[in-house]
Amino acid sequence: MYIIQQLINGLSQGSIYALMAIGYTLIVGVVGLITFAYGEMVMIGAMSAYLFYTFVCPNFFLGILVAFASSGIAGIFIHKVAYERFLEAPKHISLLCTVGCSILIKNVAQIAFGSQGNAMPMAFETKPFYLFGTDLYITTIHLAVIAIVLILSVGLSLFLHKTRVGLMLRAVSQDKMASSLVAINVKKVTLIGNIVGTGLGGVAGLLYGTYLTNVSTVFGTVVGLKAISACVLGGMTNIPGAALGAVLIGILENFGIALFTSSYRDIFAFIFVFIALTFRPEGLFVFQFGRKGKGGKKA
Amino acid sequence: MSQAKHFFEKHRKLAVLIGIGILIILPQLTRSNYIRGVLARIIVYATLASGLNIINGYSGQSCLGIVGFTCIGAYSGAILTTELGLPFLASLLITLLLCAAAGFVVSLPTLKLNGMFLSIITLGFSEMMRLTALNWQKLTNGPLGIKGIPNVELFGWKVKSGAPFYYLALVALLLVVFILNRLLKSRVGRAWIAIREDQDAARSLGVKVSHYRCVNFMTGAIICGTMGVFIAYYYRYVSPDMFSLDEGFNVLSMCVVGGSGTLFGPIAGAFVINLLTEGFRFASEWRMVMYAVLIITMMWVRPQGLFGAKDSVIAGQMSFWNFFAKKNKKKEDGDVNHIGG
Amino acid sequence: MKKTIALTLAAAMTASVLTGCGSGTSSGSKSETAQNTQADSGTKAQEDAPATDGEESGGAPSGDPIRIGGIAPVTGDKAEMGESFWRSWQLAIDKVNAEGGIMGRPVELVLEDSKADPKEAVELTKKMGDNEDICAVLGPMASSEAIACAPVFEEYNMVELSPCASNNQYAPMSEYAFTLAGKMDAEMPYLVERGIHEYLDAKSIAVIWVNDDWGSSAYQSTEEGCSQYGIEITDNESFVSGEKDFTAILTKIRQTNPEYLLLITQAADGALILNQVKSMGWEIPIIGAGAMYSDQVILLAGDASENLVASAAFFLSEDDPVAWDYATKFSEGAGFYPTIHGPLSYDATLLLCAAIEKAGTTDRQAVRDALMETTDADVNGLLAGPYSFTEDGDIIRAYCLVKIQDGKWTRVSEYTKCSKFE
Repeated sequence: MYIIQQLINGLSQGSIYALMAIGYTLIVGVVGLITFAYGEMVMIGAMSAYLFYTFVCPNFFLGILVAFASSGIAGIFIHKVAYERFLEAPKHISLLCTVGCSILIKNVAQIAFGSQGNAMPMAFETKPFYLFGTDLYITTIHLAVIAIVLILSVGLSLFLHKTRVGLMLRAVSQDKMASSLVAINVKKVTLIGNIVGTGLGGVAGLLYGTYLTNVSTVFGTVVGLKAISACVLGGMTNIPGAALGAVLIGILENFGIALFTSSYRDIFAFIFVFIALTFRPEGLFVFQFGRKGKGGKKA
Repeated sequence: MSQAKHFFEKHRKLAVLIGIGILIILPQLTRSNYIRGVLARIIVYATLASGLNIINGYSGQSCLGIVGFTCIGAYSGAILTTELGLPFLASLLITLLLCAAAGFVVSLPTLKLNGMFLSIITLGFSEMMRLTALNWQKLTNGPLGIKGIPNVELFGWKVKSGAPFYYLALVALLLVVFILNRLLKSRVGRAWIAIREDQDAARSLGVKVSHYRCVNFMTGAIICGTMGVFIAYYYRYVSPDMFSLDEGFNVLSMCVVGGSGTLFGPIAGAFVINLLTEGFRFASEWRMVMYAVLIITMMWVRPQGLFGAKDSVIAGQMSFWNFFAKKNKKKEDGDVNHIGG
Repeated sequence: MKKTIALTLAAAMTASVLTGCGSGTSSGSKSETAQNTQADSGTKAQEDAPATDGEESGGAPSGDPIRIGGIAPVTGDKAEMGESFWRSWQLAIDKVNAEGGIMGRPVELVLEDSKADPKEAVELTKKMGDNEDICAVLGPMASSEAIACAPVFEEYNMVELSPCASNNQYAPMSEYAFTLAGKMDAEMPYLVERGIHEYLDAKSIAVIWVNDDWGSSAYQSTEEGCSQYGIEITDNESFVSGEKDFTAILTKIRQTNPEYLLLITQAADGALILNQVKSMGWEIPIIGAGAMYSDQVILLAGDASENLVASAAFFLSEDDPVAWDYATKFSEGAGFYPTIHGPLSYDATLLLCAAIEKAGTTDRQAVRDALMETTDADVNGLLAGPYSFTEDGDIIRAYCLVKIQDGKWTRVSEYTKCSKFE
């Protein structure tokens, strides 16, 4: 019973990680570069939704739009500063630029809004639902988070596979050179991919803030790392893989805490990534049809 | 300017000697203990960045978790000194062995990995070390850290903080740079560089890639670990907060801003970054913003780092890793062949 | 060409920084940030010309300012706590200046940003130690910083007056280390004895504690106290600062079925836990350690915070005009009401100024000796007294119990100590 409850907790937490990991994987896929400013994108989404809720109206769906838009705009900034110039350069340059952006955004946000926690206005009431008349419960927030993550994942998958832009995104993510040969504007497409990716991060931030009932300017960094770990588990450019990896990390963390204590939470996550990569260096969910063996040189 | 460049290219040894001379005189220019302390810290960080440079610059890995080794080193130094009362050199030696072992263990899963995978593994390693230090209360005193680390004592000579410690750190730095220089000109260094340029090509030429990558990682780990001991003695206190990820990015930015893959780049980078963070104190809460803007500006103006270019002033032939390789691809290939063969 | 520019740029930056450092420490004059925050009263008072030799007479101070160092996190993740410190220091210094300064001279705060990082704090201590004008230092904030800095302060014979470093190990480290927080081995035993044992009469509790310098030692004291009064600890769970999701811990603790839940956390984290307990539909009465006494808890947790019991070293209420005046001024600048750190920092400054006045000189050793002798009797307008330093340089405080009722903190007991210190 207790174990199943922890499973439910892990699932809902993992689904937030999953949304972040999906966005992250999209960015890594199209840009081909690692980013450390992602946690700040999550923070921007959460903070802008918070400001929107308090000053305009606490409408959940408008909030999602606002979070997506503001993080997307921040994504354009990151793209201009850290990626566009350095697409061809060694990766550590743009990596350092993203670190710089992360410090910049975090500190500017702190100066503007302070670093204190802010109570997230609730768009809907939170209460537990007891399942099958047992002790097991799932809260409305858990349900909302899981539902929205599922909707967005399906939406993204449709976008990537059914639209022209999606096709271009996938093409660029596979091979930039070849894409430019078939007249795809690589710079423009990477920009779009980046906006969508950071926007999803922003929505994840809103959900995370709602889930925690609290937002602040310093809460992005930790979850940003989770997104990276999940992305790596999924094999860098494999979106369903990353989502699966994120859910797995969420569940494992909760089981780890159930067995030991919360101080070790990040250790569990990283040991899992460690072991997984030792046995499957190309990612946990990359199979024959993936970009086997290529990740190293490109990414 | 071009004349100066020409001069440096002609008289490399003289230029290096002048540089060392400046480093020796530097702490005598001020009487402030604080500035001397900052200088000593810069030297320690310069060595740390050089250690990272071995992994990132010379064998082309992308290690972000160098601070994990520093954490191991600092804690082992602190514990050996305060609990067992070992002298500085003894704890340095033991730490060296420990860090070599740690480097070996971490390098095992990374041998097959490249690029981002390696970044994440090392990043995770760094966080794991910090969290272990935080949680292993019996050994590390948990979040309160280990206090009461004495001043360094070498053969009866008490090395006080400030100028004496600066010179001790300088000796370590010069030693590391000297060893690195020799190493890079040897078979090992050539193998590293060959791996960096093209792993598959190196393997086909008979370079034992796994072996050399492992050695490379261990060398970096040893240098960073021993610098951990220096850090413990410099602050005379260690706590888990001192080895956060930000610290790792700080060292990385020193390495990259100075120019990774060059012998002197990390040293210049350490000076620039540390002086910036100290000098911007007047900016109060805007300090980190200015720091971030400057790092980004440096990357825009000079992505290959201060010493990074092929025809850079002092770096000379040590820095043939031109980042914008496409522009002079032919030259690059020539160099690789020359060195690999 | 670009390279030349970049090299020149770097050289210029380095040079400017070097000279910046040099001038900053040689005369210790202009580069400090505190002058921005120096409020009007101080500067106005300085502009007023000839000083009527005004010892405590309210005359305008003149002459060379007396400089007091301040080390607090202005940036970084703990910036919010840091604000309580430096704002309160500045408010207290404004008050002293408005009342005629020390020995007729104005007081000036030299504030430096430590980012709550022990490494930075050690550097700053050296910087302040080298600056001959600075006679004593307020801060640093956290116990780990204070412990890291203590040996350096000893080298400079300079007072290190930390407003809230409560760790038992800190104050005995050197004769220059002082704290106003009250020792951890007095506060948690108080909460266990007077609060959990006597007031609530609990038989079993579960503890959630933050794994940092403060939380780990607070938990140890709690454990000792509980075993003394036969209170069973059904489960204890630690978390690393920065943790946001507590559902896993809470689910685990719920299994052990404790009577009460004790939170040894900072206010923001505690509020998160309160919210998550509520959304689980778990009805358990909750107790908070000292840091939970903060308006932020009510702000962030709303209804979920109702009936929270906490211990407090100082209860801020509108009935106390001096304290309320301070709190209003503070919230005008900061936008929130001060937590316990604010009043302690404010008092620390007043005590230090009184000590300098008493010493009659800015000699560091003399200030230290005078501070040892200074008690609350020497100072007007203290908020969270009484104060008298023990031989180690710390304070044994009296505490009270507070409770959230109808969305407001109310005091539910008199100030007392635990039986060990009575």
